[in-house]
Amino acid sequence: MLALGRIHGRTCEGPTRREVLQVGASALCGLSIADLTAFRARRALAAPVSKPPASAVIVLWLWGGPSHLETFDPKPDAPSEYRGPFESIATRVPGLRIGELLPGLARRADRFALVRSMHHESNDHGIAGTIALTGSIAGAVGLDGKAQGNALKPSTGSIVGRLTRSKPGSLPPYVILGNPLHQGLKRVVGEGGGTLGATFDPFRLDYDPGKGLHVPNLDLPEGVGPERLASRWGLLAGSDADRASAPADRAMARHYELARKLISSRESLAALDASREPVAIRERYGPHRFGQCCLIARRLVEAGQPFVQVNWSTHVEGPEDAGDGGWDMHDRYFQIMQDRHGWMFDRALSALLDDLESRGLLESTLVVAVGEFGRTPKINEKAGRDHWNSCYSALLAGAGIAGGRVVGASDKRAEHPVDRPVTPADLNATILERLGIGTTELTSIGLSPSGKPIQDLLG
Amino acid sequence: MSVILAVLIGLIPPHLGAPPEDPAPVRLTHDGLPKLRPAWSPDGKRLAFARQEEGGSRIRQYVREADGSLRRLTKRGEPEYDAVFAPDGKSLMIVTVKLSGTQGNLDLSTVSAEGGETTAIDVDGGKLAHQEWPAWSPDGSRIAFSSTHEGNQEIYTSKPDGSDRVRVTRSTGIDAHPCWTPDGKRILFATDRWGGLEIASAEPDGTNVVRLTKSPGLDDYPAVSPDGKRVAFVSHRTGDFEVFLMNIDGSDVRNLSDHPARDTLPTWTPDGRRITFVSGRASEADLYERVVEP
Repeated sequence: MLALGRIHGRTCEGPTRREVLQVGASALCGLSIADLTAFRARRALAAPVSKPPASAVIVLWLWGGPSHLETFDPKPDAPSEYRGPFESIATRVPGLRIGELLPGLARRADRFALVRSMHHESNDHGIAGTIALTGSIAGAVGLDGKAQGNALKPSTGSIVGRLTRSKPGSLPPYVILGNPLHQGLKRVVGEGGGTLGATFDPFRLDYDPGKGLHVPNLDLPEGVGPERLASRWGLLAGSDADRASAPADRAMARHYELARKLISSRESLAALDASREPVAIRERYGPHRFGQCCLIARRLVEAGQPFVQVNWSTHVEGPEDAGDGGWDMHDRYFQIMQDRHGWMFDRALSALLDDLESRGLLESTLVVAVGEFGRTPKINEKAGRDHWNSCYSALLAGAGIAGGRVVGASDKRAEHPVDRPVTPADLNATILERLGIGTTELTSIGLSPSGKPIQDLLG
Repeated sequence: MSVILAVLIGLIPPHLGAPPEDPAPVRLTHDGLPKLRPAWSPDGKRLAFARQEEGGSRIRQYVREADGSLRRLTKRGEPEYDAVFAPDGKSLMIVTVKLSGTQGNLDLSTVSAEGGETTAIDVDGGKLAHQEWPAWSPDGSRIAFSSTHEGNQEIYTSKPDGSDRVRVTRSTGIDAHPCWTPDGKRILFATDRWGGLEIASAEPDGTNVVRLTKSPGLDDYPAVSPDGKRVAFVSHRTGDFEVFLMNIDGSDVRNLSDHPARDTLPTWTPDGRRITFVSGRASEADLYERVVEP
């Protein structure tokens, strides 16, 4: 079903005569040596020597930066201005406690592992988001609009997309449920193909409770049916033919073509629609957008999709701050955690773990829940928590991850790691490793490995 | 005569009639959108609540009229919520947000019950601070609210125009969601001074603090009954958000909502016969009402 796997063999192996002939033909088609190496990697991936632990990944991207203290690293013995008003609760795993707003996850703690020592170098959403999604600060753009040096790296999803063969007529391998990420009015980079090119940018879908499943920014206008859309698209394709030689244009044309097929085919769209699930299943995930997107992610994985990212929100900010409910709660924090984020996250992720497990998918699906950073252990002057990149937590489950395990530790106030510091590059390397993507595969597409898989997480 | 009686009974708002035998909650709203802080007008005809609009990017204040129709309370574009009717029913105190980068400034404002422009009151000296959860004293002479203007979230009272401010709480943690007793002699609030969030009460000058709950899991959003004998509040002690009832001294605690969905933000109808609350039992969040045994 999926064309992923680990490459085993000589890394200095030369090209075969057949490949040389192919590259000649490819050159006529405008393909490069890099394309050839990628082709070889794909071919090798298509015929793995051993099956990798994961055939799919679901990343729950908690945009805005959830507090580690109220989720997976509570500090009940810290002074009140640090610990916050919520208690910690026991979990199914002896000795492991998490925040009281996550009772569902507490009951499932034997199915996931925690990393309590995540950290990196920036507390700017834009830069931190890029670091978390690509494993590198290169090319990141902060709130001040200044870009960090060097070229933007590809996101983990884009790497998977580059090394995965799509089934004919299927969605691209890398799908994001959600709009492009924003900090205020600024778009954040790091979700796309980076140096791999825009061809490997994510394909986006989204779900809104009042709107159902849709393709962001490409919904049919009111009064425009599929036939009329096809006619319009024909005109658009004709006018674009002359300028479609640039890579970005080609990528955009490909994206639009996929979107056209999806929108024009009500059946294709319906196949992804969570409303086809039994009511009882839908209710388990929760009636909110994030919950239903988690359900759609499960459906996508079940259908063979290798990499799905569910964005909690478009903006880091909450509706109190002109956003759409991200985790960036500088104020009203404890009320919002109680009224919205806590139960929504707990219910959706609990349902996802149950659903994957009951379908036999959890052992081959890696689930990762993480944001771009944590929040200040000391409560600020507005009864909230600010950005904190020095220490935060991540959750991983499935695909060989040891349930109930905790990797790394923070100090008494959750300010800094005191054991086994882990970087986003390490986390992303772990995701790739579970999919059977290692040094050989990365170098085959012109990338240098960064970070080391967190072996302590494995069962 | 019987026809006239039947018509008259039909005109009586549901919560002014005799409690039905079936205590199952009655659903008051059906849009499923997240709701914040329901609050009744003194005559029981109007219900104020805020709603997070579709797409999640707006919070707006609404008033539900006796005939069930909804109207926005203001025409503001910026967030607004937590509106509560003054004891005379003619105006509401509301939280209005003035956006300023990523540091929203939350003020208390007044607005006519018929809607219109809001007028901010100054309780923080113009600082970028957060005033929330206003609660009118029973005689309308003062309001209680939480504020962060001194660097930590505390409970204060002031006159309705913001003058004569008095600090009620002094703790290093969170103090929130004040509610007056009907005689105006005490203020109930949520505090984490003993660990997790618990319900406490104090006299309006901050003295004589009494702890009312002691449970695992948070206890929050206290609402004192109109007769002053009982308190509705939300509790997470079962690992699920439920509306609980207890006596005003903290005794005789019982689960009122008892449903696996999230039930929260309770408020009493003015006659004290029902409790209105937010529940996710059939949608993300709608308003429900259920009878409370005398």
